[in-house]
Amino acid sequence: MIFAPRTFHVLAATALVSVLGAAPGSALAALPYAGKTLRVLSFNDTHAAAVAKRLPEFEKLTGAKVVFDAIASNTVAAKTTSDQAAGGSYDLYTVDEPFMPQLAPFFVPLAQWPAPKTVDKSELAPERYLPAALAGGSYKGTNFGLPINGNVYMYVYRKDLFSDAKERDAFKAKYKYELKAPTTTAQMRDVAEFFTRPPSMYGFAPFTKMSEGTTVEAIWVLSTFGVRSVDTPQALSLDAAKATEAFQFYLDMMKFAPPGATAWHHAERMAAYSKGKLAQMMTWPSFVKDLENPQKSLVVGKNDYAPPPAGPAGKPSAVAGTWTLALPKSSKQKELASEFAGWWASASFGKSLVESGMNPARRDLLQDAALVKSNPWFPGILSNFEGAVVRPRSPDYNKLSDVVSRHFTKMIAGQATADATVKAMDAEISRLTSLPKK
Amino acid sequence: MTPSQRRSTPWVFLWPGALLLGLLLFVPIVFSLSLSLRDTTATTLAQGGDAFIGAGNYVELASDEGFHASVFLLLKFIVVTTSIELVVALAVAWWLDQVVRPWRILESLLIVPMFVIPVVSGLTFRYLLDPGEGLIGFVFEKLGREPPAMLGDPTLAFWAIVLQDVWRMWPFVFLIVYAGFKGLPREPLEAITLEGANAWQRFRYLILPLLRPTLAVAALLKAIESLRAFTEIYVMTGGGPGEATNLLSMYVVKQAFTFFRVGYGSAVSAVFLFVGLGLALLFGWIQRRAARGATLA
Repeated sequence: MIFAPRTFHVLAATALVSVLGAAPGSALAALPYAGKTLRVLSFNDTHAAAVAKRLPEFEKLTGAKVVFDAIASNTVAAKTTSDQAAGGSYDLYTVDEPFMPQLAPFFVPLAQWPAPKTVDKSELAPERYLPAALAGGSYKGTNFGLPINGNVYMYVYRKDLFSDAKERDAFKAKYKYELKAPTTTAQMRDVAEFFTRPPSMYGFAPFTKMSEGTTVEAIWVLSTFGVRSVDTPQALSLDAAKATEAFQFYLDMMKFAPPGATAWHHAERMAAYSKGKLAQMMTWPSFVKDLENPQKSLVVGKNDYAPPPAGPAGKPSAVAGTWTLALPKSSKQKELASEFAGWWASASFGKSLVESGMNPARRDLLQDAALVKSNPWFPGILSNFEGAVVRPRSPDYNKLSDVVSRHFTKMIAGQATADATVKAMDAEISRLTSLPKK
Repeated sequence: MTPSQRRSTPWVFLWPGALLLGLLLFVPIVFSLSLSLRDTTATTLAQGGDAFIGAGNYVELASDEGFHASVFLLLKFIVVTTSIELVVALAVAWWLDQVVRPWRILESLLIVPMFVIPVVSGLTFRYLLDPGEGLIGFVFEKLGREPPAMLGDPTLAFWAIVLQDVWRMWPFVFLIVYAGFKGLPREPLEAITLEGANAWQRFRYLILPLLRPTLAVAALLKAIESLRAFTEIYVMTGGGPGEATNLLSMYVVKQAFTFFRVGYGSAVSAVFLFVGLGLALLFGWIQRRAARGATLA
């Protein structure tokens, strides 16, 4: 033997360690983005947590390291603004629909994104996504990103109650038509009245705590009653009669809401419905998963989903709320960011994200037979997105939302009538939209 | 060591700490004040940069009704919460000062709410005051009455945030007042008791005058603390309904982080800063006056 046994063992062990250690290293080095780091700013929910958990898969695919910062949803826009003001430290941002007009100047239009290397290029094609979801990430006709969830207002009701023979007979005797998911706001009111049996059951779940949610609720009821817009001078006075009728409808429906529902947020709505205290509710699909979770809900399997009831204008209206992946001009890793966005928004990855509560913004996933079976509200999302209302596309949206929310909550609190609310809201919106932009 | 060396030695050891404190304390303040003189918004930043506008933001503040309303609301909040907390703290401290030892365990237990973080306290009160599911609903149901929707009523919503603040912060005032009680000289108290003064007379004519500097300090510290009230109000009412609970702190955050009017929000913060500074100076003056009084005595 050339080497002493001991020396031989040491050399053999060293060689083995080098081979084993080098193999992954060299494989990693061969990957297209080896040694690069991507920084992503995301909202924080179960969907984002599922993405964060699967990051090693992307890192294995591309060789890149991903720093994934997930923060409270309502702070993402402020963080994005301050980060961009400081030069931009992130390569990819998640942007909530109403903030895109304000933040759009920071981003690269989707059409100019670099083509990815490892992800199928067609994953970035706008045709893959629902038009209303894409509109959420657009401003002045330019699309600034890929939609990653399809949130749109939907109507949920207790199918066990609606199909109960005794309830159906009683309803028909009182209202002279069959009990079914309401297709008009007048029917929605009848259903609310019929099922209001204090203290165990109520017919209406309002959203009334001052926040963006109240603005959405106001826009939903206004658009249902045919009000065309809320973001131009005199928009409400042009449709004053419809706007007043819409608000009066909401005030009338409050009679069928549980006591104290004058300061309700998502948590209160979900708690009441999950306990079986509500017969019907307008909600976001992102909350539906919890209604069907036995650990969180007493009404699992007792729900069905339908398009929102149409108003006197004859058209149902659903407000959309999409999050978009946006690539900043400041990023030095645009190709890698585009790669990551394509991976996140892809159909194959999306299928697994659905399990974590993500509602897709892609037609193919919403129509996937297996996914529809386990998520029966998907057809509802698809149909509601067809005529979805996109919130005003204005850089001043937040001020506008504040005006709507303030006056709407004042009206709910009994400080103003429907008519006075429309006038006050219109005056303030007109003043705001006539001002030079700040 | 020469006298001049002796004088300069402390500064050699102090400057690293002073520098760090200066960086952490004064740089953000100076930066914020400089922002208040600019038209910094998300739009101006995205369009390539903000511009110096001098006192423009302050001029706008002068005619901003929303700002005036939020200042008034903040002052009302400070006066109401501080007054209630002082009375409660004084009453409990007076009672605890007279009771026998076993009751003194309450000294520790009573201050527990002070350690509850504002967001938890706010959420707890949000659910307690829910007429449908909360304690208030349960109590009124037992009484056979309709529970009030406190958070959805513009008048009651203000009192709801006051109630939350009183529950969480009265122990803070109590600690200061109780320490004052413990520091009271016992001889005059015993003398006035021997003279036949009853409990109320002892309190009215001896304890209260002696405690006045302590009460002033407690009130001022509590007022300064109230300036920071934000998280609990945000989770309880979001500033609503309407503008019913839109205190100045809510207004600053809305301007700077919801409307992204960072320059204007900084101007509002500057006013906020000067109010706080004024209260702090007043606090210092009262302390110096009390110390002088004690020395003379």
